[in-house]
Amino acid sequence: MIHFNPEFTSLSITANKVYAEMGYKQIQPEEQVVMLTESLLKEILGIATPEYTFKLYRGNIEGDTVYLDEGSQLKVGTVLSSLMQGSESFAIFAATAGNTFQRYQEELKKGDDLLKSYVADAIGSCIAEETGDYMESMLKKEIGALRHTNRFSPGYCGWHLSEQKELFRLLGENPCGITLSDTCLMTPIKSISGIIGIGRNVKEKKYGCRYCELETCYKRRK
Amino acid sequence: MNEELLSKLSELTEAGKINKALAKGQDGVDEVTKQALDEGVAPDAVLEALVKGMSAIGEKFAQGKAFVPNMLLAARAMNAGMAHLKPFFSSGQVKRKGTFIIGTVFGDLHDIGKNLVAMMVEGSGWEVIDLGVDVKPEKFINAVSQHPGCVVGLSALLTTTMGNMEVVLKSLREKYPTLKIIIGGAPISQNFAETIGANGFATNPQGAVELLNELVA
Repeated sequence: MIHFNPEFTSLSITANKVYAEMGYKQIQPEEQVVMLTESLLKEILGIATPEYTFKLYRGNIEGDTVYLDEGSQLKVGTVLSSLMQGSESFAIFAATAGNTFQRYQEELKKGDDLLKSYVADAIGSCIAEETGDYMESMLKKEIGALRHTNRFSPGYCGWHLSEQKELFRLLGENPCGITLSDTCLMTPIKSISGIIGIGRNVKEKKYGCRYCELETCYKRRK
Repeated sequence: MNEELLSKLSELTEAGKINKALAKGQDGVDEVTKQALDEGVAPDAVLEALVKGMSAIGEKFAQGKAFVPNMLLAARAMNAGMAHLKPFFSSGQVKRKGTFIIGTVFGDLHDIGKNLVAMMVEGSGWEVIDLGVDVKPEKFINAVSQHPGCVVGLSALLTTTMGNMEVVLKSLREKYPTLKIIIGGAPISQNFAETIGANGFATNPQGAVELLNELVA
């Protein structure tokens, strides 16, 4: 198991990435949003404690299920199983913006400044995703010449969210201090978890909304 | 003159211009609302102008032409105007469209979508009671008992918590068989809404406002 706390500064989180997370792709946000984002980024830089972990398992795919040699089965669904075809081993991972950020966010929510809470929420999403990217770069070093797929998470592309329970069992219950509720909600909320396929012939294909059948997904690209 | 002021009020609300201090020395919704009322504009016409501004930003958001921060800024501006209208609501001179009780169902802590809906519904002239997140059936029942004739909105983001909407809905209907309940959230579909017996669902905040208006029409 690899477990690491990257420095916040080693993650490439910029104001532009936060704007994109909020939906501003080619449009410059309003001045108030820009000022707030810049000041919150500085504030959060001083308190966030991102963490990630991953564990490698040998295994194979049959139908819509990943079978790990240690005995676990993950029913990832047909979409994800086809995207991970050719995998010979799998990285089970978790990454988080950390508990100090969670507490910071909870404090913000006690106030009535919804804009500030929302911008902080977007920054938290960026920290979790960037920590995931950093984790992937470390995984690359670990697997050497082998290739890996993109990362896939329960709750997307037909992989039922309830499978989080099995992922957390594989990672050792509270990986990086993340807890899982009965409804499979992670705390800190700004956390990600999932699987990455590894092999000589796998391809790194992004999720892509064209693979997913969930028309109402809030992340669906219009 | 009145028309001009009201039109300005709608534009300022849509643009999220709250007050002079935050709008680079230009009058914001705060100042223009006060001016309109001081000049004798009917309070319900002022409310209508504020609602028009919120509705405009809501439509742009639904079309992907505006973003969450735009909605939040517009809501802040709207609230600045509503503060001047409070006495008219209290006296009954201006009437709300109804009461809307909203909450994220138990097991789920997501609140951004719920907050946006609450804001837009309030901005369209409803009284909104926001019960927060992780709300159990009893809390909904208690709130409904205090607001006869209200409409309830249930929110959930996860596929594992959308089932809890049905639990809340059934508990509410057991006690209030004719209660109108709408639902929303990322995994929700029309089919799911029909299956559990909700009165409707919306994919975005403006859609929720339109749905509510239809329900009480």
